[in-house]
Amino acid sequence: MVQALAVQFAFPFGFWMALAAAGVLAAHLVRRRARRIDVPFLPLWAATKGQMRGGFGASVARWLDLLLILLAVGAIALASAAPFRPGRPSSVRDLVLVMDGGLSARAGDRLDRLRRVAATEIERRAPNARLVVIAVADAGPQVWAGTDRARALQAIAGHAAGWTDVGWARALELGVAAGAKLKRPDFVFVTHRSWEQADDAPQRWRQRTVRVPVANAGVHALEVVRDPESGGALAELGLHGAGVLVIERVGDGTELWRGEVGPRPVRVPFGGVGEIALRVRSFDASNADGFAPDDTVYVRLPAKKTPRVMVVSDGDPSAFLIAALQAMAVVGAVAEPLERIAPAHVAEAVERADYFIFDRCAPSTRPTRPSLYLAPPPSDALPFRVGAPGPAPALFEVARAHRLLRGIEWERVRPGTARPISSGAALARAAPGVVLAAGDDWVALGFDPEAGVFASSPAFPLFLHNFVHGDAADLDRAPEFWRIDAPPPAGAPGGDAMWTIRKDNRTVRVGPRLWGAPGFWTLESARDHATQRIAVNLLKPDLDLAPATAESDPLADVGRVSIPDQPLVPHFAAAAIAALMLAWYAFWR
Amino acid sequence: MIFDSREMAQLRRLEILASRVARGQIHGHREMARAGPGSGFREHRAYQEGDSLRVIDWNVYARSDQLVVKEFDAEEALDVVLIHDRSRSMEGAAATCAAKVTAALGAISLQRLDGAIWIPCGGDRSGSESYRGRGRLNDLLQTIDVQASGATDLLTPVQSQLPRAVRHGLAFVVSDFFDPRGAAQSLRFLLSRRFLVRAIQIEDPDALAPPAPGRYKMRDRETGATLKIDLTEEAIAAYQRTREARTRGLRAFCRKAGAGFLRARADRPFFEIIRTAIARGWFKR
Repeated sequence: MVQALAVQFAFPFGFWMALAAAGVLAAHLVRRRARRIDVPFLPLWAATKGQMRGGFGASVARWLDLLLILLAVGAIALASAAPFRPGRPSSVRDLVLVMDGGLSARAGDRLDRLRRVAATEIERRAPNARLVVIAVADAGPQVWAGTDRARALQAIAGHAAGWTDVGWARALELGVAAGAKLKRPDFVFVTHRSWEQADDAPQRWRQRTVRVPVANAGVHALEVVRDPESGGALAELGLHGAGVLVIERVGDGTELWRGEVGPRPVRVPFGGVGEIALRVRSFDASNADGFAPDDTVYVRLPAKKTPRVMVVSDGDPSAFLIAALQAMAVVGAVAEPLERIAPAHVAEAVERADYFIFDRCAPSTRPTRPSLYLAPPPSDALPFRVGAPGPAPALFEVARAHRLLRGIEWERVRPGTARPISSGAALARAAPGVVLAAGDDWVALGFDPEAGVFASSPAFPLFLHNFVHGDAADLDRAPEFWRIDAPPPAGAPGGDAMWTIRKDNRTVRVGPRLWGAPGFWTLESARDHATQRIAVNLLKPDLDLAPATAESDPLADVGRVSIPDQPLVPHFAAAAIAALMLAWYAFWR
Repeated sequence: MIFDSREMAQLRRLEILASRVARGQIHGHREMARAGPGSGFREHRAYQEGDSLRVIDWNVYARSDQLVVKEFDAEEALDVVLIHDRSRSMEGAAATCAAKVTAALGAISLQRLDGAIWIPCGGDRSGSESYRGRGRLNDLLQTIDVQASGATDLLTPVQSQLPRAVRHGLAFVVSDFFDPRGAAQSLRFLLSRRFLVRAIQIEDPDALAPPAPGRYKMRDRETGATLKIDLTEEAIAAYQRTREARTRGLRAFCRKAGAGFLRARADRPFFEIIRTAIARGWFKR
């Protein structure tokens, strides 16, 4: 009740008008000052006064004109301050809740967390708030609308993740359509992931609204499956969805896997240890990125065993190489004892080693383990082709900060000619010669460890260590993504600063509402409550979707319930006029 | 001189008018309530020892063989007491009017060979003045002047200055009767001395008119007492009612006591007031 009666003032300086009350008071006192007159016979007036009405009523009548004037002045001052009764904030009124219903929400405890977040959002509503809960799952969009919080919570609790064959655009359209029927609802999108935060996200939404074929479903779930044979060292991704899928490494965009997926899960071999990040994208038949909610999955694999390194050489291996590996063995970086074999026995020794280092030789058959090639001779078994050495280093696109490359004195590197045959996996490329290339499971260093100074420098063991423990992938995260439970990095689009969408002469800020609540996203405007209308324009304004399904509460009255700002200037102006008219009628007429 | 030449002419006409009404001769014109030497037959009564033979009505004796004597109304020269209120409450037109009315009453009295005793109440004079004979007319007109000072107190001067020898006669009281002790006190005293009392209430309409509504601090001219009052239309109406009630009370008292009462506005010419008094027979014997 107190909140309903609260009055705010858009122009508080208008209260300075109240200073006029001092002038009115002074004028009144001057006017009421007793004038001195001489009368012939005062007892006559004394007898008159005795007959006059006295008491409180007379006092009120005596000061009533002043009171009326002061009331008028006060009302004018209040009207000048532009009072208004603020509308009830939507956060305590209506709610449009869109629940993430995809299978990806099943990973870990995501669904439970989403339910908790949604329940919290529902429970903090006012008892009479209108609630619209939209859950998108394999059974189609489920929309529940009503005011019964218990039933809304039941709907949340009974919500099971499934195939989301309609996608988020459809869910948003439903939510927006439902929100358009309410007045200033909170639009809360509860999802397990951060929404796309690319700079052009609003534009992409708009495009998505225009071109969203339902059949163009994307990847909606990723399942991490441990490989029992590798003791957890390898993992597979269970993919669910439809269309052409591409798995690429976050950061450099290295494509790891591409293939068709259907309604049944497919398993993609995926190797690696430690924490890695992958982005899975889908493409429609036209190969356009029309509707592909990029997803980022973080996989934590158990620490692997101490790597076993197998040195392959045609003769005596490089003393620098052996010395570096032995130094690593002393600190436990590699397993002991070091084994040495000839190239012809590589295929037999695959199971006895986790890493192969080819010292100035080429294998007859490529091992299925990560390999390091030091100055390899031309061979068809190499994953790249080695050309003739060039006259001078010609390096470009070298990520010098890459930890595999740190410590390399590039001025002393002699370039060779090589070309990676694997797509998109090279870390360092040179055209026409390649001095170092790194794929998922191989690294080539294009110089002779016995011929240069690099092998004798302290950077060489570090390089080897990075190769053995850093694998071929990096942990760089895409700058436009961040994890669910982590606050957005500083400077990220949509992080510190909300997006601003200008449309139809309206400015709406879009962005995260509560940083402390993971997965919370809302669209809200600053002042003019046009969020939903803007969102409708962005998505599909003519979409006439009523929040009425079999799950809906037929008794629910989903209508405009919230109260907008109510200006009170006319009220106070009318009060001032009334007071002045009353004073005029009673005293001055 | 309180009168100008035009007013003096009006005064002479008033004297003539008064004479015609009273038809008085040399012994005065006041008709007394007791028998005595006079020209008017009053009644017969049985002869008593000691009566003068000249007063026996011999005609009655011839017809009825009874000795009766004729009695006549006593005629004597009387003093007219002029009680002149010169208090501060009369200040303004009322004081002028009261002075002229008092002077005119005195002039008429002297013209009719009555004595006139002027008793000023208030002002700078404290003693009374007696006049007799037409020759004193000029003195009387020179003495009575316009003054307004002091508090209204009609009773004390009358009690102290009215000669004891003057026990009955005609008494004019010219005042606004704003006496804090009561307007009728002096009249009651005069009536107790068997005077024929004629009260003339002089009211200054300007001084008595209520001011415009507002808040006032009123000060009594005579006493200096003050009173704060919020004068509203209602208060003004109450004031008018109080004033009228006071006048009605004074009039009722006079009627009950057999005294004459005349209410006159101060802006009214004095000769009209005197003419009204003459018309009421206040000078008739």
